[in-house]
Amino acid sequence: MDETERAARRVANTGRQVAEHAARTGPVLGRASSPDGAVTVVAAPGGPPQEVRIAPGALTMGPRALADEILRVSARASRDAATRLHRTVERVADPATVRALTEIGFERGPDDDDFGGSYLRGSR
Amino acid sequence: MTQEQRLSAAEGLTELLARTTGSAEHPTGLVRATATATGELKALDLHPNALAQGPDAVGRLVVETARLATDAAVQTGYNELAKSLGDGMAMAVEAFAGPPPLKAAPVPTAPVPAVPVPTTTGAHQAGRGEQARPAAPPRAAGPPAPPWAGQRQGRPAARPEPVETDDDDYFADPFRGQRQ
Repeated sequence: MDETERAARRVANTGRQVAEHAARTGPVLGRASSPDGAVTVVAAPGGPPQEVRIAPGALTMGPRALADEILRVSARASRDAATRLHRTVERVADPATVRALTEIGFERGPDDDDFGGSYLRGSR
Repeated sequence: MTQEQRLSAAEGLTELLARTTGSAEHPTGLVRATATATGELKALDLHPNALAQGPDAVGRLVVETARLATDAAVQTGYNELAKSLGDGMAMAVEAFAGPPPLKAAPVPTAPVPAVPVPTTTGAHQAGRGEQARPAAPPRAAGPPAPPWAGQRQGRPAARPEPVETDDDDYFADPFRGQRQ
């Protein structure tokens, strides 16, 4: 077995372990909300926002301010998704794989998030 | 291709996807977005008429436009990849990463009833990537459209559609056309 085959096997094993873990715990999603709850964004790691919820009162902000708020909240949701992806992969993959996540752009943020702040919401 | 070349190509791909952006306008013309290939929103414009659709519709419009912009960025990434690394490497990446969005995705439809949007010229910055307009909304007054106005930007000229598109039928009975 050459190095390429060994690497391919490691990739396949890691992928299977992460998939099995995600099947048990549910999809990895990041969430963020405005401090006043005007905008809430749900995003998957490495993807565009999956859900954007806007409070009726937020429409009074006007299109420019609302768009800017959506941009800010979606950026935080993406960071939260990357952090949750780290937490998920850390449980099943070796440290080199976790480092690779950072190298391809998924940076791990602080563990404390602002969405609910409940331990029960975290991916385990 | 040597292993060093493959590694170099993989590093180039990561950097390429990180800096490539794409822009898209929702078919209704109510939202424009610029996003990276990893879905990070870089710019967002809401037309004033969008807010009249209600909060749920605005959220849905943003989600759909963000996806279109991300697809445009990924498509641009594939195009850049093919230019810098060659079609062979791009096809290899396509083999494990999936087909580029403009080849795979159906044309999205507008879930929100189209609202006549006044034409604005030059008001939106398009970002660095290509701009995707999946279905151009009907425009009001404006300069005469160029001959290529009906084409989608960033997509090659349409090829004739094959008569039979269901591969399952073909593989189920590949000789059916030759039977007497």
